[in-house]
Amino acid sequence: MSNTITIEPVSRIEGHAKITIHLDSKNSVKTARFHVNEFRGFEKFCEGRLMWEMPGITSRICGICPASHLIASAKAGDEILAIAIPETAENLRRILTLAQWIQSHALSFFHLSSPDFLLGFDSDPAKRNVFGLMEDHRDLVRRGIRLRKFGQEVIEILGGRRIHTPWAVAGGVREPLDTGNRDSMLGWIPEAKETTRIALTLFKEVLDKYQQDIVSFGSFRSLFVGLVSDKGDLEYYHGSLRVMDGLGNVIADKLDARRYFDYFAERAESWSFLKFPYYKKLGFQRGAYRVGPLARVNICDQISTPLAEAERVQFKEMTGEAGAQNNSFYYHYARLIELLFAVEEMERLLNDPVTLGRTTRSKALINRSEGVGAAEAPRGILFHHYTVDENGVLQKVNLLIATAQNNSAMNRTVTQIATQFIDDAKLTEGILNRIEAGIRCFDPCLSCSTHALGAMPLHVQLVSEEGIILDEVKR
Amino acid sequence: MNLPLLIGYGNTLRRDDGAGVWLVNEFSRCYPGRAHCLSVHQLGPELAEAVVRAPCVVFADASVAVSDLAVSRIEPSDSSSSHRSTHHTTPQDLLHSCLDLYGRIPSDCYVVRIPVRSLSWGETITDEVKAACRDAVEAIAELLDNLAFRGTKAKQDGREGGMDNVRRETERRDIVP
Repeated sequence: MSNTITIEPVSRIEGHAKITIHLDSKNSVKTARFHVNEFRGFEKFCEGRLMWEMPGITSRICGICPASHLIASAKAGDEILAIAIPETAENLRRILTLAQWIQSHALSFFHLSSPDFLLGFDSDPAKRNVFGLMEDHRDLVRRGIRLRKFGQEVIEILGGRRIHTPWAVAGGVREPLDTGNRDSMLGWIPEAKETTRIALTLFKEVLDKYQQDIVSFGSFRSLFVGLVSDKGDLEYYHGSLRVMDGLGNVIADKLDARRYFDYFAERAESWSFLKFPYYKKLGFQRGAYRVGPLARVNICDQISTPLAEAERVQFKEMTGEAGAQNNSFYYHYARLIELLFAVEEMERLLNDPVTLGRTTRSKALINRSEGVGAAEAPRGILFHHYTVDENGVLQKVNLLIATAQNNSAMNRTVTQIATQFIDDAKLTEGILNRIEAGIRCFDPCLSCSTHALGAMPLHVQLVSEEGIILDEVKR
Repeated sequence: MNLPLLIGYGNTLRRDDGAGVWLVNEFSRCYPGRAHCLSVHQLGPELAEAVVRAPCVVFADASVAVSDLAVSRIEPSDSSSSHRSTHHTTPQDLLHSCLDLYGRIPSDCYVVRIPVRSLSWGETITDEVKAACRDAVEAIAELLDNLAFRGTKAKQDGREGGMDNVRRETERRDIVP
């Protein structure tokens, strides 16, 4: 007889998920599945709306990275208008994107993942959360909260509110930035840099401490996909797509992100609402890829800001001759490098006189029937693809979300961790948490990736070969 | 002296659920400069810093649990960290986080609960709830006046109290059972 373990709901992620672990007749792990069991149908209900409304509508897809959806949507709108936006508007959109990275990466590291690192994977689950961390690591938590607040405040200053801001529009942004608000943002920079560097130091200690645990945290070769600039720099707004294999070979470069549908396809599985995108050229099995911080830091040739570049060099040294860092636990490290980059890059942009320009919007009517907007969201590259009629009424909408692009990798990660730690057809709290922690490496956001309304808990089931549920944990 | 802090929170896309936000805007309009006013979608630990800086904090929220406007004094939650959630923070939880993070809370903490009529989709609140919010604005203004008077009186009497005071971590044993 064989078994299945179910983990439901998965906790400390954004959205609702379930994990089933399927055992064979010898109680060895055969496979594990990360199920996303909500459906929202966001793409469908956007049809029939005006293209102009889309930034405001799609930013409401999620409360975690609404600014990324806003930017991708506004860029798709720019394509439909067939215009170049003012330089000032581009700088401001870039700052908003970086603020989104800061608030989301800080949330992921300090609020969601650091309890595992600092309190231990096997520590008391009642305390293994940000509130438990407050009791013993007050200064670090305070810093983490303030770092996230910095990102939120920049979003609020630019967009008028912290979430669901309708500030970016097709053709630019609604409002320019004034000197007072610019200075207020700049005032945060030294503290933000300091906090990020403290977190980096802490994380390197964690890497040493948990070397044995992290060997199985999603360590496998896959493709990596993301944007790079013309010079190969880490890029988050423009640039072109690069595809790297698990050995560090660039197998496709300078791909036009607006033609994403030529390179990527999606497969649906009956057991999850989250689709499985893959790189078409290599097919479904070999074409599985990862996006987000690990992919971005792997694929770029350099980072344009000095402190983050120094960290990237160290990251590469740890990767060694492997060519690419294939261990998903290093998502956390890459996320912190990106945090540092975001703070430095924001400082550069805020000091650029162009940022304070007063012209922030180009105006035009519908000039194209199709537009694709691509931007690097915190969790990876995000595509918004709209088809409109001559009045700008949406005929078709496709949203390709970062979390979905990591779906195959998340499933492989869960399988790997389950295989390493389950040996008696029993779930222990420590195993449960390691499985969740494996998922948290990717910082998945299920609300927008399934286009689903999210609460956020975890459910794990242990299922026999005959489909009988043998063990089950919910929280 | 720092101003009292008024935090209104709720979802402004679900009609009366946004009553706390509406109330705060109304308070700012009627009593400009009387309190530091914040409107937010939900409470989170980012607010702790603003709370501990204030001599007094008033939270305003829509509630299905009351049929009339209710103003009550609150204490930090006594829940352990396992019962607190990053997705749902009550005013009492936020006060608990203030103690954890900064070792103090304002000396006077209140919550104003506004009864709701409709929680359906929509960006406007109902007339009944608007009326309740206007009553709440006056109730809060009166409350703040009383606290300020108590503080002044205490100072004159050479005692601590009212809006110049904060409760510190050393008093936590009295606050958290």
